[in-house]
Amino acid sequence: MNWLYQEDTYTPVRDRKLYIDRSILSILGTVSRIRHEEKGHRGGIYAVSPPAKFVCTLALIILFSLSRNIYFTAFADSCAILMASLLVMSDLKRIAAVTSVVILFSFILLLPSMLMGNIHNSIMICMKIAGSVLLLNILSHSTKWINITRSLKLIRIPDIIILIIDITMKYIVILGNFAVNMLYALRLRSVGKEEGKHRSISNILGVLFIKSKEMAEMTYHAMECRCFSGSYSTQMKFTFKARDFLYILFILFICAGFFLMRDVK
Amino acid sequence: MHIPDNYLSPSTCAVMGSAMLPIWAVAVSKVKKMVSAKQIPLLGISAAFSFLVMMLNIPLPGGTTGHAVGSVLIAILLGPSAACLSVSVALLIQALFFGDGGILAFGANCFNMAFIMPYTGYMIFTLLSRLVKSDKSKYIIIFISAYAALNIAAFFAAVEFGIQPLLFKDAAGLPLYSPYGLSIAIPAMTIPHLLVAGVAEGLITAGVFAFVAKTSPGIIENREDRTYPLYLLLLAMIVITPIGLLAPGTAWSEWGAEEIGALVNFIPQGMRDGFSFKIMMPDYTFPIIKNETTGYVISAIIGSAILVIVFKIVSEILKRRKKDA
Repeated sequence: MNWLYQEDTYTPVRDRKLYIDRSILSILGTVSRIRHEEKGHRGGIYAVSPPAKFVCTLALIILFSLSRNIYFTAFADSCAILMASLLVMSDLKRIAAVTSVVILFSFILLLPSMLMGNIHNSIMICMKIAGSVLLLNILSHSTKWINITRSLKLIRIPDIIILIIDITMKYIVILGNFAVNMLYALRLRSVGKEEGKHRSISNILGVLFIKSKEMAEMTYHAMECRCFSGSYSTQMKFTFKARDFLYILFILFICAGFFLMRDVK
Repeated sequence: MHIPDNYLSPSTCAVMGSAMLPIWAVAVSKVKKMVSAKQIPLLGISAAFSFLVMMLNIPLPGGTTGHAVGSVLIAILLGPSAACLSVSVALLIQALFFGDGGILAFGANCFNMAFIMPYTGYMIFTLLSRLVKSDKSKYIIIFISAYAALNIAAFFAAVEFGIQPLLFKDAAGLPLYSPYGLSIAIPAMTIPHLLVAGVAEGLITAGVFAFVAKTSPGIIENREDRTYPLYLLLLAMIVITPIGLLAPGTAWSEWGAEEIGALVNFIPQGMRDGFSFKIMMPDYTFPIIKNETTGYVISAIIGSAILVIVFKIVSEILKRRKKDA
């Protein structure tokens, strides 16, 4: 019984378990992002028709990619910033953070090329990347994601694929929460030096896979009970209001810039 | 390995996107044949699983972290076609909503991570499984398949980056898109994958397979078991054929009489007065098609078609002989 009265001097060996914290953060970030977008959006650019926004964003990203003129790239970048300014502050902050990280990463990646003398084109690549990321983020922050997936119909994506994408979005949240709970449990149980880090993460993924298989079975049975026979058709509402007209006019103005500035040197 | 927009030229993106169209069509038809309507929620949820595999951080040496791609894992567990579709959907969601990987580069990203990686991984896995039958060696085979497939996919991504400065230059000769040539892009992409990321991917793939095999062996037994390795290899060869155009000069020892003359200042008499065979496509070009690249690709397709037909005829003759015997 002497051991009961002895003072416990156990101090766990310090171990970096970054992979658990980073996994929790990245999954929670994704899940909260999906949940956040499910909340209602406001007027302004948020209320522009989703198919119009989707097609226009795609067209502008193509123009960015085709452009070999720094004047047009700068002009389109400034127009994208103007569009971003119409978003609410919380969205604006998030977009600014994402875009600056992407610009910084591209700049570091292209720095050796700049040092070798390819300054003009490297700066243009950075500007193009910034513009494309900004436009895509404006689209994803100002539009309900379910409406963006519906708009995929416009580029001839079959309805069944759209259904698969919608199921994926729902289950990223469900499986994501499940994975986060397992990661919390792992963090609580791992004291001191953890030897089998790869085994822990493999086991989490294994449980997640078995869970996905079970969920797929259950979802299929639920769908079958509701008369699902394999065919699926999505409905796409296309209403045209004054704000849609203004939005398209603005995008046409940027497109015109592409052709007008082509020969400006 | 997610390629963002504007690192690849629009034409490269278009080529990679169009290369993926028949692959998606084949994958959809194969998955439909398997269990039809039942596969739809499974594909959606597998795509969510694939998305989360890419989100979970795995420990790397030095206390840092990275993420696995998981394409080979899904290919081994659910079949390569299901893996191709699931990973494609996961990549689309990442590109469209999270800005991870470009929209225009979506085809290129899918080509590397949703086509090359699951199909080559699965192909290596099935080939090695036929050679080695023991249960314990299965995990080593899975490790090798995932390790090799990730490195092959990284190599393809490196080639896509590396050919940009060779093909797309401005008037001053400076690169318009990704500025680093093959000599920089290939080591920069492949060395980290060969040394670190590939090992982690292999360990995770084998670990998850071992876990699922122990806890839920029924899932492992219901796998799609057929692939067409030869056709896949041919397709990959056709796609990478134009890379040969980037190397200057003629292939070693395939010189013509004039080139021999220029190299050694002397043309052997046998070559000078020898027999000259007039072929239909000299130097892999056609009389109508002046563009060397197009001619090269068409030659590769025709060459492969002739090879496949010859192999079919030979196998038909062999089959008949067997029947007669």
